[in-house]
Amino acid sequence: MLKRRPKRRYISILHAGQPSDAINMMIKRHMELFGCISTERAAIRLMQSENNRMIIRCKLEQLDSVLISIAFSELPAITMGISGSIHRLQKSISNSLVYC
Amino acid sequence: MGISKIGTPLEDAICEGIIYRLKSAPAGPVKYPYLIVSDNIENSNMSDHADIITISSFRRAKERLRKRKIRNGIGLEMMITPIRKLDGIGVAKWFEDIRDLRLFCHSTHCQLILSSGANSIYEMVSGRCFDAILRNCDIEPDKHWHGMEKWIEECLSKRVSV
Repeated sequence: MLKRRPKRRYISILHAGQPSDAINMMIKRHMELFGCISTERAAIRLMQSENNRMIIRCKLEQLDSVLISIAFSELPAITMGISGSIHRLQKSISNSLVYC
Repeated sequence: MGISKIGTPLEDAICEGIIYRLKSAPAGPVKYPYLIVSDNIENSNMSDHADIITISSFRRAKERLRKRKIRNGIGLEMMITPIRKLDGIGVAKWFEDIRDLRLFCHSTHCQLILSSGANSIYEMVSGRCFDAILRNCDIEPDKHWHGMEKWIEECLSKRVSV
């Protein structure tokens, strides 16, 4: 039987404070609201960080709960974009920054 | 961010495409769209003229809102920014409050308004996050935004503008 790789989503976030603090606060909030099992299942990982922008990865099936954790994170953070691939996300962010 | 209309407190400069939040109605006709916002449920003079009443805790405000018999079509707003400071239990209670408020709005013909309450760019909430919050409260995002758009248009059409 084929073992299918779970679908993931890459989320670009603009945050206050340090990237490690921002992602730890998000994971903490996710754990408080949705529990340890769901947080582990979400597999939230920091992929890239630059100044006050970072890209995190999570599983598609937990995307809504991750977005809620970002919105309610103690350290303010805002979702800038979501994509299925990191390259497409980077491209869309750079396009939107040009428009800004 | 997927949000086409935003509201902001009125400061010196007036920008196009922004709906301003005022505490009281301006004396004469103005060139900008605005909504009157009040956080005072008790003061009937204030809340009778308001388009939006901001509620910090629906649990505490529920009885007062019932007794005051608020008029149809008023917007009842809850903000996200103050909730960030609460612990997990506090946030979970807020989600339950939103579910209750939705039922209350449905029975009293009011409009449920979710807003970021942002004081800085980092505190803003994206459209996708709002959708996720709404889905978590068993509210269909498309239906909610459609209702919001209709409600804003109705409120603004009552205003006198130059």
